[in-house]
Amino acid sequence: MSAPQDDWDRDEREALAGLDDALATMREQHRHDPPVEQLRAARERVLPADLQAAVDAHLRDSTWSRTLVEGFEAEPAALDPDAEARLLSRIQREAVRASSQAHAARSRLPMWLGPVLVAAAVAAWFVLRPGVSPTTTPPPDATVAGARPEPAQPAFLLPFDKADVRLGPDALVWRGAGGENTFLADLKPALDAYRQGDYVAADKEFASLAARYPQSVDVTFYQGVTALLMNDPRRAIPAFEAVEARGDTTFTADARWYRAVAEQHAGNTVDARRRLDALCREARAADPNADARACVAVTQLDAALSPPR
Amino acid sequence: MATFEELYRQHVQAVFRFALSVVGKRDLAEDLTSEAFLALHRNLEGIDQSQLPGWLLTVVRNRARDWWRRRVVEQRYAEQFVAPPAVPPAAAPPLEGWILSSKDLKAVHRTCLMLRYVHGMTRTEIAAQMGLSETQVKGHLQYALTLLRKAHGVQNT
Repeated sequence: MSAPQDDWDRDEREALAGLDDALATMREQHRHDPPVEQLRAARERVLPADLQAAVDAHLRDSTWSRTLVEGFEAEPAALDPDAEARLLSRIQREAVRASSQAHAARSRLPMWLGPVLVAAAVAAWFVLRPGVSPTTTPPPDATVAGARPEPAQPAFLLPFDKADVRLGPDALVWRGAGGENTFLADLKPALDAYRQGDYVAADKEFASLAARYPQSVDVTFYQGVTALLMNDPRRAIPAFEAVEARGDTTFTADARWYRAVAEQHAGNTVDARRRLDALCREARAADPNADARACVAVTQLDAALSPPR
Repeated sequence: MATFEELYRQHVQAVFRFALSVVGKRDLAEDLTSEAFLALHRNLEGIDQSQLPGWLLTVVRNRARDWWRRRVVEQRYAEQFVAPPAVPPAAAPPLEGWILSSKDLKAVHRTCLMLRYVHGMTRTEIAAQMGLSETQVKGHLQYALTLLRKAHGVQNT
């Protein structure tokens, strides 16, 4: 950050003439801010825990850094067609190479090794098979340093439908300073992206909306569903928890259902089953013949958890 | 059931955008995107395609976590950002207030201004960070500086 003016063109020098002191003060005040890539990574919760906590705290306190990150979210980057094609051919080349290496490795193995490995795997299963808890499957976040696992979730994931778009009464009657409902206009790009299945874009939009409308239950609910659709149940859980806590009748029932699904996807199977069971009992109490989704889910979960015969 | 190439075309932009947002470097984001689709290629037979693009994003997220973990260890990053020294809460200059709250600026203009004139980045660096072309960055800066000139002129009168 030494003498940044050296890099400015004439327009910049003219526009910023007389602002040297103000800029110098701002540079000093933000000199120790986390680098911008850390700020962005923190929004996606991919930093190591201690760094994540430090950057989260900084983001909570710093309007400057929150504003800085919002600019990235407002302007989604894209691969141009050339880069898209180049990346595809690179992937295909690497896939072919990996496949031929695997084939070569297999052909070098002695013929007797296959049956021996199968027998060893069966023996290991008998010795190590889980007694009761199915939650021994690592949750998606349980990556080990240096390891590069594929998505590690419970082998069975409860299926769920994408929530239809609807709005609560607060959203419909919201009025800004000018008496207009700007909230609906602000919400539209997020909901459009959500409807179109562009969950990455929707997630960014909802994150930006959550900063501007922290009390909106609509934003929090769809932020949670979007996180779940992005296979990030641990981020979805607090969103549904917040919706439940607000007690908005438009979303509470759905938030409880998606919370249970998110807990199961996160590997918290016992908690998920307890929640589903409660939802199922409530549905059956209202209508004994109801084929409630929670009751179906309990059956599916129990079937998935039954030990293999 | 869609072919690998169809799935790639359908999801690559979303996966790349997500990758760029978690690592902030275009070349690395391309690497992560490539790794996610390679993983998909390996698992194409067994994967439930209704789980896409969530499955791909999870691969990227896990790879990004590994990358950040290695980076923190290798570069002792904690030393660069551990409890920053408390900067006395001096009154922010009016310019900072204008950047943060001017209704004429869009989020992208604010970010370009901040990165260029406070965080000291070149236009090339900003373009790489934001996934924009240098021409776009230049355009955003020119627009913001025009507004700043007006605001600054008014303040000085």
